[in-house]
Amino acid sequence: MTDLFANLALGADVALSWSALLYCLLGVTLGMIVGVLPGVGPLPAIAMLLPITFYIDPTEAIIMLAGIYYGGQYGASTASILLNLPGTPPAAVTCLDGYPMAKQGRAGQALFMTAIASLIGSLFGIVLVAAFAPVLARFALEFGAAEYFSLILFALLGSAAIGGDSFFRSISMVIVGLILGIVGQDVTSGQFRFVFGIPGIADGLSIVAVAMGIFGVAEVMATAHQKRDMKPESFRFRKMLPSRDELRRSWPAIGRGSGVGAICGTLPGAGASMAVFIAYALEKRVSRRPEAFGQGAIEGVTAPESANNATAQTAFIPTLTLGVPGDAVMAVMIGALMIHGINPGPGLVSEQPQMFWGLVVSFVIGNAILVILNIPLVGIWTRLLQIPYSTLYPIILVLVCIGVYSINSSVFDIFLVILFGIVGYGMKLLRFPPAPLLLGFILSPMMEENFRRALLLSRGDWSTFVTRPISATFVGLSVAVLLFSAGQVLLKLRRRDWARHRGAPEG
Amino acid sequence: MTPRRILDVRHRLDPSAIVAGGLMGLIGAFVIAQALGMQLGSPSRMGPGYYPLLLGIACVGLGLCIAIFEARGTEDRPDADRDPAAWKSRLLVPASMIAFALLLERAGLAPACIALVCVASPAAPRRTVAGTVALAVATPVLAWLIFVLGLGLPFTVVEGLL
Repeated sequence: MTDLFANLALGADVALSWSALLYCLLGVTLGMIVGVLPGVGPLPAIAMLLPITFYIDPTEAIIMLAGIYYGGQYGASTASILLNLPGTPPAAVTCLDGYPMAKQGRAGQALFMTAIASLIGSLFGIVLVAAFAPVLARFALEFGAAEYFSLILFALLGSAAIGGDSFFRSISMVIVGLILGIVGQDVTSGQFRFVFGIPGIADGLSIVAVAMGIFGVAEVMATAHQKRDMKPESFRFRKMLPSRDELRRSWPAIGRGSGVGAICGTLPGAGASMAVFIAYALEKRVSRRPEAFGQGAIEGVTAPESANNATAQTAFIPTLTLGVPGDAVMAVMIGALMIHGINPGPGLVSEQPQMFWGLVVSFVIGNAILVILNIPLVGIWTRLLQIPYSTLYPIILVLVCIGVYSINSSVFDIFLVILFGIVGYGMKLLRFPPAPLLLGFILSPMMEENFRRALLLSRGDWSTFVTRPISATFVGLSVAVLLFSAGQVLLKLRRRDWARHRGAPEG
Repeated sequence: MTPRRILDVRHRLDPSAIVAGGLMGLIGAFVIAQALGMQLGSPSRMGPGYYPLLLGIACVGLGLCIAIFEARGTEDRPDADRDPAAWKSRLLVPASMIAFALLLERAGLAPACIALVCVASPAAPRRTVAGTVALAVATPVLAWLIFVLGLGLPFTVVEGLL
C-alpha cells in the first residue's frame, strides 16, 4: 500500500510539472475538438500528431496522445446528443437516448449527466489501472513466446468477432493487416519481403500513412460532397441540472456501466464498441421501464457513457503491460511508444516508473479538466459544431499531408497515404471494416516473432500452444470466439431461409 | 440447413460479396506465390516464407467463405453512394493530395496548401468562391504559423523566398 502511495507521489511529480500540465491540457482539448467534430475522431488525430511528438519528451508525448484518446470520448457524446451524429463509433449508442432527450428540450441535463457519468467511469478505470497494471505486469513476466502468440491470436479474433456485421469480412481484414505488417526486412534472415525494390517501404509501411489513409482520407473521400445540416438542438445553460428522479436512476446505471467498461477495456480485443452495447443492453434488461429506452431515458445515456470512459482508461492495461492493444487507437498508441524507443510490455512499469505513474496521475488531471471543459464551457462546443464540413475537410487533408510528410521528409509517404485512402474507400464500398486491419498490421511482427520462437523452442512441436496452461487458456478462448461466430453465421443463414420459405420479409 | 441450400445461388446475388471474396482470393494467391519464392524452412526453423505462406492460405480460405456464405444478399444494407456528386469527392480528394505532394518540394508549403484547397473545395456542396478564396488564404497562413513558427519544422514555405 505504501508502495502505491510512493508511486503516485512519483507520478504526481511528473504530471504536475508545468510542461506536463500544458501537454495534458492540450491533449484533452484537442481530444474534445476532434470528438465533437464529426468525421475526424481521435484515431486520425493521434496519427497526425505522432510526428510532431518527436520533438518533445516521450512521457509528455504519451500524456498528450492519451489525452486526445479519452478526451475524444467526452467530445463524441456532445455531437451525439445535440446533432444525432456520433463522433466515434461507440458514441452511436449515446445517440439512441441522448438525441431524443435533446429533442424534448432536455439537452442540458443529458450533457451534464454525460460529463458526470464519464468522470465516474474514468476514475473507476484509473483506479483499476493503478491497482492492476503492475500486478498484471509481474504476471506477464512469465509469458513466453507461446503465451504471447496465443494472446495475440485471441486479441485479433476477439476484435474481429465484434467489429462490423460480418465475421468473415472482419477476420479477412485482420489477415490483410497481418500481411501488410510483413512488408520490409525480415528480422531473422535479413531478407526483404514484399518490398519489390521500392526504397520507401524497405523499412516497412509507415503506420501513420496506413492509419491516416484508411481512417482519415477514406472518410473524407466518402463524405466531402454530403450536405450536412449543422443545426444543433438548442438548450439553456441554466437548465443543465438534472432532476432528483434522473439522478436517482443514474447512479446504479453509472455503476453497472463502469463495471462493464472496465472488463471490456482490460480484455485485449474487446474495446469500447462492445462495452457500450453491452452496457446499454444490460441497462434495458434490468430496467423496470424498458419501454422508455430510445425515448430519452437518462440511464440509456449514463450507462454507455460511463462504460466507454472506463474502457478508454482500462485499455491502457493490456497496452502498456503486455504490449497487446485492445483496439485500433491503442494500436497507434503502441506505434507512438515504439517510435520513442519505448517497448510496451511487462518491463515498462518497473523500467519506466516515471512514465507509467506520470501517465496515471495525468489521467486524473485530464479528466478534471474535461469536466470543466464540458460543464461550464459547453457553449464553446456547440458553436464549434456549426463550422461547416466544407471548411473542415480541406484543412483535415492539409494536416494529413503535412503530418505524414514530416516523419521522414518523404513525399513518397504522401503518395502512400493517398494509396491507402483509396484502399480504405474501396474497403468501405465492400463493407470491410478498417479497425481489424490496423490491429493486425501493428501486431504482425510481434505475432510472427513469437510464432517462430515458440516453435523453435519446442523443436517444431505444435502442441506447445496447448500444453502450457496460460497459452492453452488463450487458445481455448480463441476457439470459443470462433465457435460463437460460426454459430452466429449459421443462425443468420437459417433465419434467411425461414424468411424465404414463408415469403415474408426479414425481421 | 443442408449444404445444398447454403450453396444455392439462384436467389438475388450480392455482387459485393463476390467481388470481396474474389479480391481476397487474388491477394491470397499473390502472397502464396511470393512466399513460395522465398525459403520456407521447417516449423522448428522457419524461413522468411513460412509465415507469409500461412497468411496467404488463410486469405484464400476466407475469400471462399465470403463468396459462399455471403453471396446471397438478402440483408438490408445501405447501398454505395449513388449520388453523382459522390464522384467529385472520390476523384477530387485524392487529386488534391497529389497536387500537394507534387508541389511541396518543388514550390514550397504555401503553394502546396493553396493547390490542395483549390482542388479539394469544389467537391463540397453549397460552395462559394469567396469561401474557397478565404480558406485558400487562411490554410497556408495557419500551416506556416503552426508548423514552421510554432514547431520549427524545416519546411520551405515559398521556394526561393522563405
